Amino acid sequence: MRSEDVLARAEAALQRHGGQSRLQQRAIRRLVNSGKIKAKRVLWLSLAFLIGVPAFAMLISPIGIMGLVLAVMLFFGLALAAIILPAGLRVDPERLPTAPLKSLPLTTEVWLAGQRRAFPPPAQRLADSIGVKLEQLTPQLQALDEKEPAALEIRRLIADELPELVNGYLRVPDHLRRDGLNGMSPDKQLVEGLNVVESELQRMSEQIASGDLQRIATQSRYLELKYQGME
Amino acid sequence: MATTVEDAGLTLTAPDPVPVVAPAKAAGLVPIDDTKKSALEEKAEAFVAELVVLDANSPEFGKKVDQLVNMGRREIADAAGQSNRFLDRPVRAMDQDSTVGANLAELRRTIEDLDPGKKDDLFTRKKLFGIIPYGSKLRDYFDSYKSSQGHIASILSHLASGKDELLKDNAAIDVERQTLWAAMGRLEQMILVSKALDTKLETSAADIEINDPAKAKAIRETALFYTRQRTQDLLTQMAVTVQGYLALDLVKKNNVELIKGVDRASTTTVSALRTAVTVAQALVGQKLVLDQITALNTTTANIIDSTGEMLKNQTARIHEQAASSTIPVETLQRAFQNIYLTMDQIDTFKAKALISMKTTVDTLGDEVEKSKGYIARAEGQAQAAIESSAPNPFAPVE
Repeated sequence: MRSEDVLARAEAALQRHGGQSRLQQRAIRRLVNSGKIKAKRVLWLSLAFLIGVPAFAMLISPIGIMGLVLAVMLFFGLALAAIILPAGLRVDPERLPTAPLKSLPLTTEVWLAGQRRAFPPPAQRLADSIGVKLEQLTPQLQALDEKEPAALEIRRLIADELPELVNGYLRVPDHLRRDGLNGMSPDKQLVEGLNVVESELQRMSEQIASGDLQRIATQSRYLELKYQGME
Repeated sequence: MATTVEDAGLTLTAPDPVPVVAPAKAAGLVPIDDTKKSALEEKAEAFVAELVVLDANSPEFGKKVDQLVNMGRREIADAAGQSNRFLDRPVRAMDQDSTVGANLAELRRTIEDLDPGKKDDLFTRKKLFGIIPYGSKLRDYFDSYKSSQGHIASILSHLASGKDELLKDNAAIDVERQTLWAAMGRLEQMILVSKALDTKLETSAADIEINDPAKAKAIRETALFYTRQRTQDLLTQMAVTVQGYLALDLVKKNNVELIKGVDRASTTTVSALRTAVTVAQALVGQKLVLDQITALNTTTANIIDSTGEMLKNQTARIHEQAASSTIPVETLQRAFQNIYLTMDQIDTFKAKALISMKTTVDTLGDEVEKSKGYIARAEGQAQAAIESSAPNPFAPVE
């Protein structure tokens, strides 16, 4: 293989798996998603006008030139509003504790992404990496039963304790966030708290995976024992 | 007369129950290499050096002491979580014994029906109404093999899958022991740290005794006190874990013996059936075709290499003896005796192994119960310590 090939492949692999670019990818995806939603809104609006205005003119009462101009202006106004109004999922933190476990990490991620703008820079970075962890956790949770202790633990952490930490931080007035009072610095505490959340997510992910890790190790050992003799 | 399938090779020994491991002797069983040792000791030293310069009444001092309280919490919880699982395993192993046992019992019943020793006067002719002779009992007897071969084959295949279960169990035990070993390594490191902290705190408290008796007192009553408490907790958990580790080994050895027994029971059965085929040929010129058994025979021989080899050698001998022997039925009876011998041996083994296993489960249960008190305390502290979220300064070295 030529060296350019190797480099190209390595770059592609980095693109696919690299932590930083992954974050960028998520940002881009969010942008694309909201763009799609906005385009859809405008499409429906145009459709409604294209059908609604002639229908109104023919069935109820003619609208005349003035009416048409008004209708066009109204259309542009509404279209502008459809584009400006924020699109994408908006998550209410109160809804988190009742969200189904399978979609909980993604819901929390979307909610956290909405809050991160208010964070100090180190906390923003942590919020991003928590987002990545949450995304990694999602496929693992698909097979997990809601009632299992591990599931309860995860729910408590990402639907209850994490929002509590973030909301507690957001309740502190802006000018007190950096220095705080009596040597307590909310900024620092937020970072420390997020750090703990991140490492706990990592641990929980490992814990959930440990069953599968053991199963595969056991199976390969079993094959060894059965077909290659004992010991 | 030389016996065809002498069964002297099989000895099943029930392993001894796992002894109680005293907490004081639990440490030092898992080796830690010297670089890790010195790294951990440095950690302890740095911690004590930082603690000693702090004001004993400051919140920072309190925070440091909290770290001591939490020392090894995760390692203990980890090992404890596994100990609950390995307590479960010997119990399950006893269950599994019983399914293999049921199959063996059924095999025994079926074999007893075929046993030539249980049939009287095979050589007399059958008589209609006790007067008119017709057919031979011997021919009928060998015909009974044909009807029971399907049954025997299915029992033998059950035994084979029971053996697979035992093997799977052993594979799982190997993996569990591996993770347990890692958990023990981490506990060992924590014990090393807490012991190092103990001596360092003691000496530094003695050093500042004259200049700052209040701080020396604070160090002794908080830091040193908690360190000693944690050392005790860690040692207790270590003892339970070591015992569980040994118990897993016991279950594994047990399974290996049982597998040997099952193997031997299958081979002796197949061997007896082969003998029957040969004897039938020699006695009544009857070609006894046991298709299912032949098929099973080849698979058994393939899987169990050594016994397969044994079988192959025997077949030649059986042939020779059955042909030359004046009393071939006796040869067949020997073969049946061998099956009974094997099964009896398995029974005695199981009776002994069950006692070992029960003793082990009981002692292990007691130890786990004892350590639960410590774990509960550690958990309580963990709940209280969620506030102080600083990373654990004594994390084991990877």
